[in-house]
Amino acid sequence: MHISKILILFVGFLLGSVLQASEVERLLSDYNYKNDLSQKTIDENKGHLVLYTREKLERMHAKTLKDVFMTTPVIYYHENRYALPDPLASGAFEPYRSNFVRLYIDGVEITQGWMGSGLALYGDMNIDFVDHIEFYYAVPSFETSVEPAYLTIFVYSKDPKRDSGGKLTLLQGSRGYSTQSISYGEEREAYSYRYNLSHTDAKRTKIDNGTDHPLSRDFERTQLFGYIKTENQIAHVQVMKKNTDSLAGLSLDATPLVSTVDYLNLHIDYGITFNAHWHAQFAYEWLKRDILQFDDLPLLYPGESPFNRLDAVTKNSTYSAELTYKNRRGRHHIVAGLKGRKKILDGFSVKVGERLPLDFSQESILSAFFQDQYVLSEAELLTLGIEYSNIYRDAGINSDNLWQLRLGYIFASDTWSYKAYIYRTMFALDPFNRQVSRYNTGSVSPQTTRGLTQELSYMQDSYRARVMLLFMKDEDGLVQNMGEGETQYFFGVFNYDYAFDIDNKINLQLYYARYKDIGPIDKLEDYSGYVSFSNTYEKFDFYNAVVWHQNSIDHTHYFDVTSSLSWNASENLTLTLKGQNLLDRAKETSLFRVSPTTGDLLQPLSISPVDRRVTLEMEYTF
Amino acid sequence: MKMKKIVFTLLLLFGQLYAMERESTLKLYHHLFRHLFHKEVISVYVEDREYQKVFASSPFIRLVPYLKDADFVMITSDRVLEEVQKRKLSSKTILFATKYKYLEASKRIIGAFYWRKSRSQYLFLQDRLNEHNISLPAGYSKFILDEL
Repeated sequence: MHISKILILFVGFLLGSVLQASEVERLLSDYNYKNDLSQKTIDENKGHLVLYTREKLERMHAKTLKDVFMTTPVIYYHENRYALPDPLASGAFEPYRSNFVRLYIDGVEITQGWMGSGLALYGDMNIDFVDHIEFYYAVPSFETSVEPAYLTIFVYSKDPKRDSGGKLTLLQGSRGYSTQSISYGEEREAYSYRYNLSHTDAKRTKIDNGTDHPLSRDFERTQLFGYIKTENQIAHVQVMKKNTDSLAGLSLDATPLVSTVDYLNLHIDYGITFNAHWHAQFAYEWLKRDILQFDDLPLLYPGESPFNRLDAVTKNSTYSAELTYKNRRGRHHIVAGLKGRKKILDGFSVKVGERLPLDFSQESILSAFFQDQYVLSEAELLTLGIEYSNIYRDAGINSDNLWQLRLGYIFASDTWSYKAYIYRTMFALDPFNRQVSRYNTGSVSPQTTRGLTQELSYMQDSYRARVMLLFMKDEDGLVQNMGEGETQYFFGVFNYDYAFDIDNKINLQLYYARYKDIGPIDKLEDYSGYVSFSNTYEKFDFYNAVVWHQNSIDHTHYFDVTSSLSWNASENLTLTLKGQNLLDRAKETSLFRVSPTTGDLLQPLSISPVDRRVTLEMEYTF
Repeated sequence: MKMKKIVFTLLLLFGQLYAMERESTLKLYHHLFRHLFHKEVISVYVEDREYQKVFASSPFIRLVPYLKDADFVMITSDRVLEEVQKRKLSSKTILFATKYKYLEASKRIIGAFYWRKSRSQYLFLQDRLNEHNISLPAGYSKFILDEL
């Protein structure tokens, strides 16, 4: 009842505030939309795009990647038992699940090396430096991926050309949550640069686990992002220090006495474009983890003998290099390249506890790809890609040879567009899962996934509608299901965006998913919806949104309601009051528990990754 | 029907992020020029290369290399602002900025088109328009301020 009343109020407000747009407003609206889409990063052939434009991010008041994730179809946002962003987490005991999702900043992959996907640490990063975000579904164009993925997230930083000068953001939230962030960017004659430094002290809701020590997921994060670029070169540096309370951590029954993991990450990269054909890129990443886990009963750990305290430090490095060649020959646009990556476990020192049972410390990946995009007509494109990867590991562990194939067709007119891809892709088990899961110490076959995806969209001046259908089937799934069949997935997404005028917009999204033979479940259906209203009235901006979830397991309706009100007090100063998960009914997922003494399954904990929180924010530009 | 240029997608440059969309940008400026000037071809001085590329494709805009020859000067950098402040330009020359701070820096600038909070902002100042005897149509009234 509350939701429907709120929706009626919002719609009433929206309709009441709609103005008759003048010709100038229409021209401005067209300018805004086309300039958002004309960013040269957007590549029709990368897959099925869900785009968060700079304006949308601003209107949403998205401060972290998590704020964006909460509305993205198929994956949405979840955290695992270590309180790390892990959208595909099942709530069971896997170390990390979202390795199929890869994160890129300005076209360079952020990889946490041993941990797999960069989402582990950067999945809820501060995005004050971000211009726009592109989510590509289905196997991406091989130009961008060193390792296979079926969802790639491209985050692009602000360019001083549009956003020169500085911005200071101070945010204070309920429960003591606070963020401070400062950015500055400038365009000089020969080069431009930008940096962002932010600090977040996230005090979050505790989770009752039936003991005197409720589960905590507070964290304190300091993050630095910076780049300097010229016409044909760019260099980035990123540093993140994140000290976390790691929720259940390694406690089997989710009753740890101490559960903390502190992360320190460094990422540097350099890219150079030699000419219209050749481009090279290098990246280095280093990650240190300080792990402290203590329970009164034995911990979840792959060691030989049970123990209840682990105090350890791990360090790993990742080196990546790639060389890409592009050329046009008649109707053919050819892209080919070589990519290499080496992941090294630099150290695993145990102060208290036991060493890992597997003496595994290096993984090397060498990939070669070829892709042809053939222009059938001015509106039609055919694309064919093939990639081969060899993964070599030390300590006598099996090597993997992976083949990826991708065939696509794209049609685009001024109003209609259609895309279809058929693909076969292979995934290998990531080093982290191989090392810390006692079931994966031997030979593990790569997973093969076959997929067919389609997208149909229609757009007019004021509205855009899109349907996206994805079907996938796994063979030799890395995440084993309990049944006999191979896991099958079907996803359907419908989007409708309508702009009443330049200041008043509505976004609607409906999502349906059907899974067959996934984990212990024969059949799972998942439904969700998202509706948002963005309005501007004189010096005030309003944003109101609801994300709704339901699935066939517990049939519970979850509603995550977000509202914000901004007052643009002057050209340089904006004050914003924002509430998230206002009804405290955002989606919850199960955290499974096992008795360390009997091995029996205990009642799972139900946890929402989205805290109920009210924040007051001040933005000052200079 | 004019088809989307898929070919454009194929010509992506490595790593380049910013690109101004030509058609919508020209429409916006053509509309403004129609109400600022009573001549078919407008002489524009602009140093910014993105704007140069966009304006070069217009049959109604002639890019000029010197400030003194321009009907319309776009102030896109501190350097151009300094040049404009140093030189004695014709009172008929219209100055327009791409940053808000330039509006504050010089009272000769009639308006600006710039980005703020990720949205494009159109802004004109009534007293400065009056000095040039410019009367913009009602559609612009939402974007005209009495003072900064």
